[in-house]
Amino acid sequence: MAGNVEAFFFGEPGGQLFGCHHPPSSGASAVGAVLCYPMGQEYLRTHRLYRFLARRLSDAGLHVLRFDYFGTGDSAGEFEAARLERWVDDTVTAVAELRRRFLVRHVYIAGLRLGAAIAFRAAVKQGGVDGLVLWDPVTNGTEYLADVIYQESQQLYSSLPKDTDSAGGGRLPTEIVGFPMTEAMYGDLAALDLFGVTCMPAPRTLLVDSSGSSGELIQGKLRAHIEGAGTALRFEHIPHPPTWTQDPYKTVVPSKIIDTVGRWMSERTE
Amino acid sequence: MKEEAIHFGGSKSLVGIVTDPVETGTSRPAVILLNSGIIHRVGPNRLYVTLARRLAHAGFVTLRYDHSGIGDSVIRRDNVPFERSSVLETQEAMEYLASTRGIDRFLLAGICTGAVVAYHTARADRRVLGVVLINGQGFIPESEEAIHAYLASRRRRRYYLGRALYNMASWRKLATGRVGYGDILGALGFRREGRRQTKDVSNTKAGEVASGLRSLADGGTQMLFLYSAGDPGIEELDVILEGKVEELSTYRSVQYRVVEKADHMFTALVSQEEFLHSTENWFRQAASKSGLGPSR
Repeated sequence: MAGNVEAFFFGEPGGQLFGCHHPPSSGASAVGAVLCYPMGQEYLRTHRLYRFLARRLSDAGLHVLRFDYFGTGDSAGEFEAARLERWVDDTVTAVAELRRRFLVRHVYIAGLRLGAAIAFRAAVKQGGVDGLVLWDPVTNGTEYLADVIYQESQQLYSSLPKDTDSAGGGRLPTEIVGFPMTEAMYGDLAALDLFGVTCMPAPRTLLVDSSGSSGELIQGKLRAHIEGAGTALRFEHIPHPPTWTQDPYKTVVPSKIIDTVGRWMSERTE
Repeated sequence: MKEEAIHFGGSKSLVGIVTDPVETGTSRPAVILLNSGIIHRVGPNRLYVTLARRLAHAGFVTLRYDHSGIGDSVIRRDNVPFERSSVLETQEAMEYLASTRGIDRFLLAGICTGAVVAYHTARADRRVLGVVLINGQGFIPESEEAIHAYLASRRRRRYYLGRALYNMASWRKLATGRVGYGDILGALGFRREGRRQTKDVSNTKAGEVASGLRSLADGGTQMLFLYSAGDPGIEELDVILEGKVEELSTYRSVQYRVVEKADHMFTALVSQEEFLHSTENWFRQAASKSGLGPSR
C-alpha cells in the first residue's frame, strides 16, 4: 500500500490487467467506481486527470479502481493485439474485481472520451451497474477516427520531414500519434455507435459536456437517446479546454468537472 | 517474463513495475527506467513497457517507476527539491532491487529529464555502471540565465537555419514584419560559422556538468548519448561541452548516436523501433563490458 493507493495486477494469467485502487477515505464502503481510460495519446495525456478524479471519488467515500486495458499501459499484451470488445470485457472484469476484492455492492463506471463509450458498453454488457458517468463521450466511432486521424496529420510530424507521414493515397494510417493501428481496430471503432444501443445502461447517468456549441448538439442527441432508454439523466455543461489534446505540461486539471462527478456520486453514497 | 507491481521507498509511496526474465538469478546488472518529464512510468508512447519486456527476454531485470508526485506515486511532503529527491528515489529503487533480487549493479536510462536524473544518480552512486541519456534536456539549471539566453538564441537560429529559411510561410511572415530579422541574420551567420560558435561555461553549473560527464567517462561508466535528429538537447550538450562533443568519441565507454526522422518522444513507429533496437543493443554491450576499469 502506498499512501492511499494500492497497485496490483488482476485478471487471467497471460492477460493480466494493471489496476490502481484508491480506498474510500471514510474507511469501509460498499460503493465503488471503475474508471475507464481513453485510448492512445489521450490515455497518456489524461492519466494525471484520472488520478485527481480517483482521489476526489475516494474522498467522496468510494472504492475506486483505475485500470489499464489489455495492450495498454502496464497491462499485458501489445497494442496491436487489442480489440475494442476485449476492452469492454476488461471493464467487466474490473467491475468483478472491485466487487470481489473490496466487497463492493454498488458500482459506478466512469469514462472520458473513448473511455466513456467503453464504460457505456460495459454497463450494458454487465448489467446491475448503479450509475454511469459519460464525460465528453465518443458516440460515433467513424467521427472519432476522423478526429484522431486529423490530429495525426496536424500534430505528430509537424516538426519532421513530410516523408514520415504514415498515411498516403487515401489509405488509413498504420499508426496514430505513436500507436499502431490495425485493420481490426479500425473496424471495431468504425462500428462503434452508442445510438445503436437501445437498452438502459444504468438507472442513473451523468453526462458531462466540456465542449463548445458544436459538441452540445451531439450531446443533446445523446441526452434524448439515454433518457429514451429510461435512465435518470443529469446533464452538466462545464466548458473546459480539451485535456486530451493538450501537452501534459500545459494541462490544467478540470477541477470543476471532477468536483461535479464527485458530488453526483456522493448523492448516492450518502 | 513476469511482471510485478511494487511499492517501495521509505513510506512505500513509490509505485513501480518490475519485469523479471523467465530465468531467475541473473548475473546481469538491473535496468532502471526513469520518468520522462511528467509522463508516467509507461513512458512516451508506452516505450518503457516495450523496452522492459524486450530486456526481460535478454535476461535483464528492469524496474520502471514513478518519482513522487508523478503517475501513481504519492507527492513528497518533505520539501526536498526534485533535483535531490529524484536521485534519492532512484537510489531507493536500487536498494529495493538489491534486497529483493540480490542485484547491486545498475544501468539507468531516461528520456528528457529522465536523462538528467540518470546522470546525477550516476555521479552520486558507484553502483551505477552505465547510463543511457536520451534527448537529455535540463542539465543546465534555470538559474544560469546567461547560458539559457545563449542557448535559446542558438536554438532560434538553428530553427531558422533548419526549417524556416526554406519555408514559404516563414518568408511570408518576413514580408509582413512578423518575424525576428536578427534571428534570420543570426541563422545565416550561424551556418557560415557552423557549430564552432561556443561560450565559455567554466565556473558555471554547465561547466560542472561537463566535468561530471568527463569524470564518469574517465571512471569507465558506460554512456550512450541518444538523440533524435534536431532535438534541442543536442544544442544543450554542445553548449555544455563548449562545442567539443566529438571528444566523447575518444572514450571507449561512450557512444553518441542520432536517430533520424524522430521527434523528442519518438512518436513515429519507425523511430520507436530504432530507439528500442539502439537501447537494447547498448544494454547488452554494457552488461558484457561491466566490470572493466577506466576505458579511455
